Amino acid sequence: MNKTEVFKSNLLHIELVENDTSISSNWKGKSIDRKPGLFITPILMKLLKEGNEGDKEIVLDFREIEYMNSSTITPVIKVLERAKRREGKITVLYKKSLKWQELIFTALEIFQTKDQKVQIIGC
Amino acid sequence: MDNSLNISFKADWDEIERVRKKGSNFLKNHGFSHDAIDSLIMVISELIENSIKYGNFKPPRSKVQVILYISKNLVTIEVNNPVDESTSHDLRRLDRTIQWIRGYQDSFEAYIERMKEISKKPLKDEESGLGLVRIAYEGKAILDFFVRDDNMLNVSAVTRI
Repeated sequence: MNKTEVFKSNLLHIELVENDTSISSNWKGKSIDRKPGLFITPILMKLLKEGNEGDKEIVLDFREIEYMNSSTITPVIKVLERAKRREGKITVLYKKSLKWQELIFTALEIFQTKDQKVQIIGC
Repeated sequence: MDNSLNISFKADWDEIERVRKKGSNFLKNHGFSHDAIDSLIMVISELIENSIKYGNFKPPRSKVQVILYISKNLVTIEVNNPVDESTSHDLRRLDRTIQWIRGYQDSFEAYIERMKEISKKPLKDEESGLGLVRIAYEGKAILDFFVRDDNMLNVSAVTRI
């Protein structure tokens, strides 16, 4: 059975959905806080930790996010870099039809690994 | 229809979303596509964020001014805020960053370099340092700045349409 948790900060909602094989984080709304890392980083670290412990794939699903400031991209970059050196798999999903998302997330492909431990996928 | 939008507002973080909405409506009324609006509003947002972070706001100089101007082939976005001697370190850093971005033929390369630098920083480090290079890469804009005689910093981003 799925386990769901929702985190909110200002206009940003992050919904965590855990099942037997993965923990998915669904990002919705707008991330416009002055220091979004204070909210985002602990959630991302929790995901990495629980993904490792439960041997589950982590999914960062940005397809429904409407806007994120550059301070929001920073913690995502740091977590992807750290995920490369850890056990477990992390997949980033974005909406290819949105130009701004395509530009941001194709640039994040530099953190992809050949063994597919880190994947960036446009849908 | 007026080709320019001029907004002055209190240097308050919560005002950014209101300015984003005004800018978005203005661009929509001028027939810009969704993608172009997303891109230009990102530029406005990042410039305002920097302005509020690094400006020196003391009454009566407590406002940020945003000017968006549409010409035949270009959109110019200017953000103005007060500065003084205490912000000279930030102005030098702004100068270095803009020069550094200009040193790349393709702003995508500068964006990638900055991402690599950020990826090595501690998780608790709150500084982004990505805003200006994002404007150059994602917004395809040319950045410039100057300080007026009345100590108002003008940072501009010019993009082709």
